[in-house]
Amino acid sequence: MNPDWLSLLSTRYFDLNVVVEVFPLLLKGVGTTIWVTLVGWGLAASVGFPLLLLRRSRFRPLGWIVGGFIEFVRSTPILVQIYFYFYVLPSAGVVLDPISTGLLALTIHYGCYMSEAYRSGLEAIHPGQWDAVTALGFSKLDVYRHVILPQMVPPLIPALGNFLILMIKDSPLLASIGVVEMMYYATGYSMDTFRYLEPITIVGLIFLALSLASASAIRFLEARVGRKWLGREELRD
Amino acid sequence: MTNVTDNNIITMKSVTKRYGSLKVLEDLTLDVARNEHLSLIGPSGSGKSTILRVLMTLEAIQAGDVSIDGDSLWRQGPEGSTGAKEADSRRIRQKVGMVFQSFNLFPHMTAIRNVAEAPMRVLKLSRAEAYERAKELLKLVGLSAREDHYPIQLSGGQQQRVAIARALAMQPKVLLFDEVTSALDPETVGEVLNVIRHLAKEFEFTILFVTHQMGFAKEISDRVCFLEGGRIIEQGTPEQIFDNPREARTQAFLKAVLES
Amino acid sequence: MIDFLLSIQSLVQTWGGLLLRGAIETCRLFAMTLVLELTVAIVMGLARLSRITPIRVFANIFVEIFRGVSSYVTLFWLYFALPMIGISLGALEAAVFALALVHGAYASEYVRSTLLAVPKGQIDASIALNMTRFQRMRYVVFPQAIVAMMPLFGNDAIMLLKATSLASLIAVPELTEAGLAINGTTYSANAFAVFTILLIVYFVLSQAVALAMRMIEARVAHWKFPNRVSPFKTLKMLVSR
Repeated sequence: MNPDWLSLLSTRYFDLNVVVEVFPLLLKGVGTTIWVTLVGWGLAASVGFPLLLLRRSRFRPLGWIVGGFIEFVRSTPILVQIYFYFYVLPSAGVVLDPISTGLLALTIHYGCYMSEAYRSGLEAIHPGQWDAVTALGFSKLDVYRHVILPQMVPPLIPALGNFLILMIKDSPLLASIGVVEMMYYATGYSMDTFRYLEPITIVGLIFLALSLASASAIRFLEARVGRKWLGREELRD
Repeated sequence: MTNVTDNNIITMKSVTKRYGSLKVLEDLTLDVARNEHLSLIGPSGSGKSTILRVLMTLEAIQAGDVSIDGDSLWRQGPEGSTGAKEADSRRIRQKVGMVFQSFNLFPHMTAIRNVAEAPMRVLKLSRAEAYERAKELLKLVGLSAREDHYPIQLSGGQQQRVAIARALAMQPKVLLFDEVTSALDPETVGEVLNVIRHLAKEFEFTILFVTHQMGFAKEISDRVCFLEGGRIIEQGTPEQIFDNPREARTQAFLKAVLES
Repeated sequence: MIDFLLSIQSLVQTWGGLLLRGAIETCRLFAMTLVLELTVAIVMGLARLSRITPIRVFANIFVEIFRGVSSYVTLFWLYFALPMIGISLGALEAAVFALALVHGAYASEYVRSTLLAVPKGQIDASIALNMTRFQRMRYVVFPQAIVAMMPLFGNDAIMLLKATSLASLIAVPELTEAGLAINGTTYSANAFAVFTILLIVYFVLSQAVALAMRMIEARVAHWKFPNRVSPFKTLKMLVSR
């Protein structure tokens, strides 16, 4: 690595030397970013199910309360929810490290979004299916496994994928409660060296790359799962 | 550049149009005289609607000459046909009006506004003049009572009559009717045909009529053209075509239509 | 429970003013960003449909970039990084621009897709009536597209409202920042009350925006449902009898 060559290509504003210096730091953070996002996404997708079942419970008032809760969580900013858990839980005796707090916030916030997505997926299934199933005498478990889920899941993949991309974009919010991820390193470096332009630009480019990569992965998944589960080459809609 | 106008208001010479590899119009030559009423009949895909769309400047052609009222719309050159420039196109388009199979009324405007809007914006009429004209035209098609209704509140036949009024509002010399009753319930077909009959008999328009309504075509046409595969197979007076078709394909088509 | 309510009451008494100012600032931020965002969305949406290739390509790149980087990164970039090349933005300005650019990029897709969804026959009819391209767009295509745009913009508006909380990260004195300041000053003694109030206020604002959007949607689509009576009319009828 020839420093003179880098300096030649740099401008007064954009110093490539800085880029080289900060990049390894950022890579350390990317790992955390990706890890937290994926785990959060998995947890949210899982939490979505019980929420959905509660929402559709036979006991109507419970359904309303859960519905109200979901609506409340979806209508309020995730940042405020993050702060809520971070500042309120300790006084209730629950002390979590920043990553766990962040995961909690992401899980609940996006879990509510996911459950609504599941709900519309479920309600989109033709009512005639339920009749057919009753007539054929399927057991409840079989109903879900062989009839409902194969129809519900493929259209949900783009939605779940979008949530993943949104969660990637929300991950830097966790830096404000101390989670050591990419943005945290970037801002730390900037405050020390007073060079803001390069680190943030690199972070932006990395986010861009992550977004595009996720989008391709999701499109790939859409095509494959759609084909396998519904026996068609192309997803309708 | 205008040529000396002869008695033909529309001339089409050796017109060819392709959609990709599909030939929609094939070396077609057709002249229409002033104030002539011409019906175009034939199976689907024969190119009848395409002819209208070319004349309405909605479609381009690859070869041939087209001129309307002495103005050249498409001129054949060494490498295919070139279209008129924008300003000339607009002048030509002004003389042509079209009524569509699917009405294409503006759903967000009331009936009267549908009719008045283009005269106001394009012909630069004042609001009062444009709406005055619109009122008259809606009266002509029998829809004065529904001036302030939105298309969604009108039946198919009513919508089509508004569409006719809208086309008339631009005072064209040539009227193109593209299967205007094909999308209508049988009960409402009559009210639309009545309006067209009235226009054909009481006013001076050159009318091109693409239709499956053979009876009506026979009644109001001066000439009938049978098309198939982008070519004119046979043309003549209504009596010649409907009662004594010469070509085998014409006979086959008419037989199939009359049976349905 | 009583303690909780009492603590909320005392909190509101002492800090109510600050919270109110924060809420007002949030509304101001929201309004300014919304206006700018709609402008960006319409300009970029139209640009992406342009027949002039450089414009179209530029617009598509613009949208891809701002959709790919988050509001957070854009915000920090505008506020911290831009000064390095000589453009110094205030915190409020940075927040407004950042959110408007990112949400505008997303919304440009709504503009583009709804414009494309207008039936082709409408364009045929407008050409047949000899309207210019501009007249076609202004009088025929856009008014029809806007009906489909409104629900999409409505959802986006609510997300925008929530996104205004990001401005707290660069110390814009909006609602979340007010809450954090209060929390810091009281050493988190009333953290629960403070943040619950924050959440409730945002919830109420969200519902208000959602309601306003529904009313606008209904007004814009009035030609689709000419027979529907508005709730106000029903009320008037009932009262006058």
